[in-house]
Amino acid sequence: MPHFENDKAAGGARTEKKASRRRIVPKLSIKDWEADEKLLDTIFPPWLRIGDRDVDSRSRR
Amino acid sequence: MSTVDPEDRIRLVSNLCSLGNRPIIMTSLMRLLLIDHFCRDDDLENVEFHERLFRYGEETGILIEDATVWTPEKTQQRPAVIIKRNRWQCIKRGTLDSVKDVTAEGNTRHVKLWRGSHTLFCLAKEGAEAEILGDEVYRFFEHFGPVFRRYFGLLAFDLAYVDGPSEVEESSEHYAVPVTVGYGWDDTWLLYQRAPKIKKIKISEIYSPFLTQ
Repeated sequence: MPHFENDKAAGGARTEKKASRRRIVPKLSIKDWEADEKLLDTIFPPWLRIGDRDVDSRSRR
Repeated sequence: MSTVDPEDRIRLVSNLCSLGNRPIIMTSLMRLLLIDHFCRDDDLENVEFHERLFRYGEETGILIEDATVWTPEKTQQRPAVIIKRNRWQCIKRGTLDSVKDVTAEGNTRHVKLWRGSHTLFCLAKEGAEAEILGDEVYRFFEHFGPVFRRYFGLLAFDLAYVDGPSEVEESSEHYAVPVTVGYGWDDTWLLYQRAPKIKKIKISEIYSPFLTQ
């Protein structure tokens, strides 16, 4: 396997390979994450209007 | 004996919450559903997780946690699913939240539609492992979404989208595949008229101290 033959002699080379792989992957912050609300339209579109019979299933007393 | 039938309150009991939907309830629901899925190996499609079943405590094979209590140190070497609630959006129904009807007593019924989503960050040390975990999670919600929608009385509940793998800023040793689940529901309430209606306002009574001067 040409990928690993130099591992022992050049551990740094493998590290560099891993680092270069990571550079092409975008970074994501869980803290700053915001969902794409336009994509949610396919599930529950804002223009949706439903019949009264459907929304009358629960009332708070 | 009264001629009026006892009030039927059976419909008020909800599997989600008798008071309706709440952010903390939806987050807890997501966590419980995932824990239920990852605590047994009979439902897991990917054999990689058969050895990493969820257990309560430090010895768990996979961490399933709310984003508000998660820290990168908690994850350690194991995979994790971090649950984060996204913005909830209310959808107005008419100018007055759709006063559907007015009862004989003058009570009014109102309805507002809501939609929201949760993102489940599937974390692992390797990108491929994160992809497999994301696959396990999104297929779970894709397949059982119709059951959850009906069971929890929601108007919609479905997998929204799966983002590409990314490196996590908070924990650079981990990759994440975000899986977003969307849902919609209605909030219906009845306003009871308790106070007597004002029939007439006498300006002279309100301003009498001033008028007598």
